[in-house]
Amino acid sequence: MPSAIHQVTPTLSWGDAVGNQVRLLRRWFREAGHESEVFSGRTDERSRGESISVDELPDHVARGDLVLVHHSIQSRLVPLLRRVARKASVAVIFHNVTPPALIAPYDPPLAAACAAGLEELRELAPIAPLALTFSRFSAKDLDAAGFAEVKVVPFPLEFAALDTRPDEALRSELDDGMTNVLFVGRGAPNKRIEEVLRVFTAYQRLFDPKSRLVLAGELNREHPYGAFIWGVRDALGPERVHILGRVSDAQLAACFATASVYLSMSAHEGFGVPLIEALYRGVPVIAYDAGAVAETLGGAGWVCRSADPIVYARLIAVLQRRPEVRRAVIERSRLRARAFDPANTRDAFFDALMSGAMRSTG
Amino acid sequence: MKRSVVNASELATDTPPPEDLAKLANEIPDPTEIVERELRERLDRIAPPSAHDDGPGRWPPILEEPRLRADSRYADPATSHRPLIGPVLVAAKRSFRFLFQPFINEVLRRQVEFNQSILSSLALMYEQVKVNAQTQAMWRKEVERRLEALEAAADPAQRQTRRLE
Repeated sequence: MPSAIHQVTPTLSWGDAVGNQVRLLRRWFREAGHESEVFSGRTDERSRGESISVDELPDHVARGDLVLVHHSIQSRLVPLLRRVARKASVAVIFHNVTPPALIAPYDPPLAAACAAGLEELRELAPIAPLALTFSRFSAKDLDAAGFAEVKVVPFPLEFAALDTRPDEALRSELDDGMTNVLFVGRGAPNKRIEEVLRVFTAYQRLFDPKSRLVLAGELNREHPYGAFIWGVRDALGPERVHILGRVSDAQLAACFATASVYLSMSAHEGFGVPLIEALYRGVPVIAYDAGAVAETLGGAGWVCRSADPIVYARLIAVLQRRPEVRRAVIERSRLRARAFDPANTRDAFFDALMSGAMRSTG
Repeated sequence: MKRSVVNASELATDTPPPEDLAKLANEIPDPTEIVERELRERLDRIAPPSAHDDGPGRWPPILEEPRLRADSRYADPATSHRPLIGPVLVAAKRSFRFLFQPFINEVLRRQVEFNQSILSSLALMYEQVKVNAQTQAMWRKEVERRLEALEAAADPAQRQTRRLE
């Protein structure tokens, strides 16, 4: 049993899936009696002081410690981790890497970083015999990279954060009897927000003029993809598209509290935290079948492989016009969300981590 | 025009089963064919920007040269055009670099980081300009189409007005 379990992440940010998980795991490890610190290469403004510079990692680890490396993009940390692996066990938590081809038309340097991230995954395999991930979809990448032991574990998620009280101002603005179609996610090309706009335009034009699209998540107009999305919105011309940008927990709660349906048209997801948030808060999910989306939803929510936006518009219309179907979907969604309750996932996560780590140290 | 139909084979859900869901979706009254055709034409006009011709993840051609020079720690191989003293100078340059390269690297490390950061920002700005130009062109075409449709709709009314005059 390692006395210390430290985590390494290239960037520690506030509000993103990796950052939230790093903080939750640190709390779990400390509660379980392990010494636990976070080491990062960079931090954003709100996370300053929460982590130690990754350059100091070799001085902190002792023989028998366990170092968990969160991997989702190029980190340039492989040489340092090679040194650390001489005295401590190293395990990888793989959040998946966005395929470079999806990003390249908008951000070639980021696409190059993703390509390098996939290359680094292969270099990490000999250093870290154990790799954990959250879907069978992502596990295939780990198997291909050559990891000795790959385990699919339940996604550690903080349910308490999902019970935040909704922001009253935003709630009253959105709660006006309109059909609210919601998408939550940072403005990245793999999220295909342009497809969300196409589906919503079709729905509003064909089935429900009194509808609104709410996009929550950072979407920077100064970024090529943000500029494209604003251009698509102008060209399609739907009414009532609310681009909220980055929102607080309370504002996000207001978005979910007033949402009629959660729509995801993402082309690549290694897991999909907002999908679970939607299930937990009783918002029916309609999603394009990509990556680990169907696996995450586990039969709850409606997953579709069609490329036709009008098909998705029809599915939204079914939810809005058939209350008995809507009720059944919400009930099924809440049942699925329980599978991610920390009360159920915490032990399973620890068992997978500890048994794998013990084996890798021999 | 092909009307949109929800196929059970494209659905994955257990509440309700895909066959039932497809039936429910296809029971939703169809919009008129004209409305659906006009909408589909509009939706199909949205095209994502294209990647560079030389493949994903490549740098814009205009930034290829700066990218090659961003790492200022390493100089070109030592050479000399002088006939006699040249080899001595080359050997001296090589020895100097051999001895002092770690110090050169350390002194220039921050400069290299700055160069790479500026280069990334320039690449992003390049893409921003390209995407802006493409989306503006897309939007201009859309406005022109809508203007043409308005003019076409207004034409019979104008002809009628002229006839009455």
